[in-house]
This record gives sequence, structure tokens and C-alpha cells, in this order.
Amino acid sequence: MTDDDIDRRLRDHGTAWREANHDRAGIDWDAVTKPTGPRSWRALAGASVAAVVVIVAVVLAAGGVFSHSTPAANHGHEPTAAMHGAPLNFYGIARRKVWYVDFPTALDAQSSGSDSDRDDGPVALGVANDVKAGYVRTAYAAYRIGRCRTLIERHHIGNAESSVSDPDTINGSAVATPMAVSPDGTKLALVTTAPLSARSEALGCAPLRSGSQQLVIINLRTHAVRRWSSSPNPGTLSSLQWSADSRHLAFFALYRPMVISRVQVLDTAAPGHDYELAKVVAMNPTSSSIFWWHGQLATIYRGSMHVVAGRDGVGKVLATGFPSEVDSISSDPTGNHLLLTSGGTTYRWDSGQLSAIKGQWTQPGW
Amino acid sequence: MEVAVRGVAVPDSDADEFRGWVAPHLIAMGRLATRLTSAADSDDVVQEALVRAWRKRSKYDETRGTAQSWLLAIVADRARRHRTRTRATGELIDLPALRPDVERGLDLDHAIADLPKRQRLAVELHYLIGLDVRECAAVMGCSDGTVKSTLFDARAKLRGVLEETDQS
Repeated sequence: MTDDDIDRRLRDHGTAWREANHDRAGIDWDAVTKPTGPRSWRALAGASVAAVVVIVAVVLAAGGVFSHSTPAANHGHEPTAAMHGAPLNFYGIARRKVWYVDFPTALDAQSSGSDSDRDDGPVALGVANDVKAGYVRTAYAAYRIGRCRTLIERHHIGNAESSVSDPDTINGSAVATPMAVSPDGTKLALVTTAPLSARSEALGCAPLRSGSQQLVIINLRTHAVRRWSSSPNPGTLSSLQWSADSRHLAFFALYRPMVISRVQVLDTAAPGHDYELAKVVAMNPTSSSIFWWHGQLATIYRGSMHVVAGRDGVGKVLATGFPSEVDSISSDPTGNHLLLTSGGTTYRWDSGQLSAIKGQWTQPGW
Repeated sequence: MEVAVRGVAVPDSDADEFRGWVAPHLIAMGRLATRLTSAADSDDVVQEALVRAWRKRSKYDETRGTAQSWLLAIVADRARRHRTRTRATGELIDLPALRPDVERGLDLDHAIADLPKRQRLAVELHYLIGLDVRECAAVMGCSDGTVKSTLFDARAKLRGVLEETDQS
């Protein structure tokens, strides 16, 4: 290895690193230009100077996201004393359909239902949970319509009614896997992607740069749509996780070509039309499955729950006794209950107790 | 390669003009802060550097270097201070097996992080941030020749580390 080899390797490394780290720091200008005033950097991290990124406004036309709506219904269950505070049921995808599962315990999934009548299977699933009553209130399933349109179906527990969105709500790109409803049920986050840019225009898709994805946040009350894009970096976004206050959305991002992974947090209360910044809170975590654990981000790796970012040190072990390899995690808003999949098996974890749930589920969520 | 804005005087106590003055350099400042601390801390370091730059803006001398080199020097100083007052906490955990190309990049990053301070700063500025030797010299407060020799020493050290890593 010669000096020229090292020089070339460093130059290549630097070029790729700059390509993958195009972000501009978010600046709280008041704290800069008025240094005698209170520093509120962290709280205002998302409120940065709009000097670089072009903001595109996407507001839905009158009429809303869904073609018709029905009121949320109470399923009628009350939590038992033994499971006080624990969600009693969940939604999941199995056999290409959306299933509602009642009372999932270690040995039994008592009943199921509320499946979609669509022929094609759902790509993504998000559920809105009523924390106080401990039951799933509403589930949203997303289907691809062609190459770059998305239809969202809303399922109500109790009255078994469903409603569908206008496929053009999220026009220009097709839904990818992750989707998540905020704990307060007011916001739906999903990831969309588009075919390679060379074909996008011909297909009527959004002009996303090749391989880039975007986060789409739908306000389920106002029907406003806001976006954040990984462009210009080709990237894969996954593991969408809402904070308990329904304000911050954490996600895992894998950027190519350097295969740099990040845990990023989007402040959905940031001003503007589309989102400009998603703060990077961790680099190259040991697992792509992240979740909020009592206000800090955690992951499960080799059977232990570790801090990814938060007040405790990175890597600190919070709990043990999990499967060694975890594919996906869904945390209830209290942080005391988890649904996780590992090797084709779904488990629930209730404050230290792990139990397997029958069935082959994907994307199970409280 | 970042393009430095030469010969631009710091605006006189006008916040809006100051914003416009530093805006072209925010990307480089963010990158250097990330390299010298961590992604999680980089925003804070840049913020501290900008506060420092705002307070010291009257001391900027355009004849001694570009605006970018002046700002990056402040970032480097703030990052050093940030590192000394922020100590790692928590337990170390094992990393999972990574793809060879990722490991290669991480090996290089780890090797760079282990360099002596001046050598690391020179490598970060020249190769990672993309400054030329003259700009590096302005940031580091030394001559062009010193930067070249520092980079040469750093490459020699990296070569030894990487040859050992590649063989293992």
C-alpha cells in the first residue's frame, strides 16, 4: 500500500461521505444573534433558516382524505386487573389480509376479523390505540395502486366499517412498507417511494431522485399532507415510531452508497409547508428496529434492550430477556408493552414478561 | 470541494446580513462538527460556533483568510471544547457483523479518529470537508508546508494501521 493508495482511498472516502452527509445544520438564529437571550436550541431545532431547501406546499383539496367517514367505536372491552394498562388486542397482516386480533395471550389469539375485501394484499399497516381503554381503535392499511399511487383503507373496530381514501391523496409515489399512526390518532406517517427517475415522468410519478424515499405525514383532522424527503441521497426509511406526545417521529434511515445508517427525528410541529430537517440523533445503530422507551430511543440487540439516543448513555442496557434477533418492534405509548417479531414468531412483552402469540403476523401493532 | 467566499467583510451588527454571510458555509461547518464530534452533537457545536462568530465578528480579518476558514477554525475550537466537557457514558456493546465495504469505511474512520489531534484535523479538513491545502492552513493557523507535512505523516500512520487491519 503506497502513499498514493492511501491518498486515493481517503479522497474516495471523503467524496462518498460528503455525498451522504449533505445536511445543513439547523440553526436557531435568535440564539446566535441575541446571545444574551435564553438558549432554546433543542426545542427549536426544527425551526431553522429556510435558505437551502425549496419548500413545496401540498395541501389537499376540499373533501378530505377519505371518501366517507364513520365515528370511532368503542369495542367494549375493559382491561383485566392482570393486564392493567396493557393493550388487549392488536392489528396485523397475515395471509395478505389485515386482521384484528382479540386478547392475544401467550397461548391463544381468541378471535380475528375485520379483514380487507381487496384482492391484493396491504403493503403497510398502522394502528391507532386507545390507551385508556386498552384496545385498538382504528387501523389504516395502505395498498399500492399501480406504480405510483396509494390507497389507504381505514378500519374501525366495533362497527367493522371501513372507508377508503382518494388514491390521489398521495399521488406521485407508491407506498413502501412502514406506516404509523400517532398515539393521539391525529397523524398518519408513511413512507413512499417512486420508480427510478428515468421512468418516473413517463409513469406520471413524482420526480424523486433515483432510490430516494419520502416521509408523508397526513393530518387526519385537517387532511393536510406534509413531506420530508431523503433526496438527494438514495435511502431506505423504516421503523417509523411516534413519540408519546405525538409530536416527534423517529425513523431509521439507511443511505447509499456508503451504507451509512442514521436514526433521525422529525419534529412534526416545525413550521413551514414541507419538512426541511430531520435531526440526526444516532449514527450506525446496531439494529434498524428502533422504538421509544420512556422518552428515549432504544433498540433490541442480542436479546437486550439498549439505548440508542436519550438521557441514558448510548448502549446502556435497559432490559434483557428478548429474542436474540428482532425483526420489528411496536411499542405502546406507555413504553411498558411491546409487540415484536423474531424469526416468524410474534411476541408480546409486558413489563418484563415475554409471551409468544399464535399466528404468522407481519407488522403487528398496538 | 467546498467553494470559499473570499474577501467578504463581516456585516456590521446586522443579524440578517450575518445570516446571509454564514449561510454558504453552514454545510461545511456542519460536516466538520460531525466529523470532530458526532452527528448528535454537531448541531450544538455549530450553534456554539455561530454564537462565537457573531460575538467576534468585528475581529474577522479578511486579509488573513476566507470567511469559511475563519468559521471552520471556530468550529474546530468549539468541537475540541465540546469533546473535553462531554464524556462518554453507558456501556459498550458489540457491533453486528457488517458488510465488507461498510467495515472498510468504518476502519478508515476509526483510524482517522485515532490520529494525533493535528493530523486528524488536517485529514478531516482536507479529505472529508474538501478544503485545499491553503484553506486548511488558514483554519489550522499554520503554513501550507506544515499542512502538507502533517498530511504526509497522517497518511503514513494510516497506512500502517490499515495494512494491519486489512491483513487481520
